[in-house]
Amino acid sequence: MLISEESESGIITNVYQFPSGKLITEVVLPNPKTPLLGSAEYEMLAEQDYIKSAAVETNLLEIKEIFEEFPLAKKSQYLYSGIREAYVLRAKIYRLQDSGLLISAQQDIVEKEIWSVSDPVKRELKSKEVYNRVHEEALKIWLEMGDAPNRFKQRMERLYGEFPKPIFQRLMSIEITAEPEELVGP
Amino acid sequence: MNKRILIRIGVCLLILSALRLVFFGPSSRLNVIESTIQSESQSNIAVGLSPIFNVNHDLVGSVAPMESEPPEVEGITNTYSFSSNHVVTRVVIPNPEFKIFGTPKFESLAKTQFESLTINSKYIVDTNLYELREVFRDFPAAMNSQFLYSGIYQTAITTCTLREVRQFIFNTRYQAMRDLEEANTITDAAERESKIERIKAMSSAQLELYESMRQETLEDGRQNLIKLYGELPKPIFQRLLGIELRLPMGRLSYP
Repeated sequence: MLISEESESGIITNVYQFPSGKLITEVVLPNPKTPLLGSAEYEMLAEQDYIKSAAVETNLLEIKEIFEEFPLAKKSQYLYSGIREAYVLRAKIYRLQDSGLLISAQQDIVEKEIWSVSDPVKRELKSKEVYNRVHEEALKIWLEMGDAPNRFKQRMERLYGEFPKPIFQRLMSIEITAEPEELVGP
Repeated sequence: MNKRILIRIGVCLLILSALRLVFFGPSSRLNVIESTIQSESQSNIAVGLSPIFNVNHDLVGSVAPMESEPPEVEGITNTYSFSSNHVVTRVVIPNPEFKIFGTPKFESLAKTQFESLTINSKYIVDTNLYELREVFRDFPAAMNSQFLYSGIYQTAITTCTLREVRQFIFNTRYQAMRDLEEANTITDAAERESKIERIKAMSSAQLELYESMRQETLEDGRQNLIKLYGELPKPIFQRLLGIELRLPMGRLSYP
């Protein structure tokens, strides 16, 4: 289970509860140079980032087209803030998928790690340790995959007052492979 | 004790397989294609890639004889030419039920399949199947047609194929990364550089090929939905593609 909360100041607290009983608390502090979502400064940086990134990641144009068909976003002062958030979300989902696939692809490495221990007792301990580690990593990715779209929807609702499901569904079809750069003020 | 370790490794592998399933579902038809590409391309330096021949993706497809299949097998052949003059031929054999795509019989089979995975299912239902149906409900041409479930089935095929292609893309990048690591251990500088160039060229060509497969999958899916409903607004298609099914819908029980 993942309990995730974002404070007004942008601090994100993630509490992961694993079936083993293990509890991991993760506190993500925002970069102090990154303005808060919903500010004019954020919007300005988001627009600058869009102009720069759209040349490389052409699917950003698709994201913009979707936001332009969302009247509340278009009329607001925060069109590019929404585009930026969607860009970050889709890039995050792509990276999480890669992380999941990486765990799957590294099964031979996992086996080697276990069988590199010659002592049978130690090997059993090692296999248990590896099993728990792989299980936790997989679960953490899965939880984050579930949390990221919800966090995005919450931020969009905060920004525009509401966020229609059809707009969200359309955005979820856009593939973003580029890694967004951090929005940092001068 | 070793038995216990083996069991634990087994469980580990199960988790890994489940993870693969959760993120990308089971690979099926396209596996054949991928291995063909890899085996055909191994000994060549491939730098660029462009499709040179693309048989019309009609429902029945064009006849394409294959060495390993009887000559009467119908398939869709795409041939790609690399700038090294190396050629890759991809043959996709459509599922036989697609011969009746767009007919009431297909619709009935698709509806039965949908219900077997939802209201008649003994297992946990993938609620995203209902989401797909909800999107079609916002599309009058689909609702007024007699082919609602055919569209749902077609969409599921498109999204699941896209997921498989996505997995191929990851596999190619991962394999290239490992091959490059290995190549970097070669002591002879000339040999090392040559090997690195070959790996980079090969993976770049494969990625281009998968990107073209991705585009073809999207276009085929779009065209099939247009065949069913006469039109397909972009927002509806995007919404459909934005819904990820956890598993493919499975084959229709076509004799």
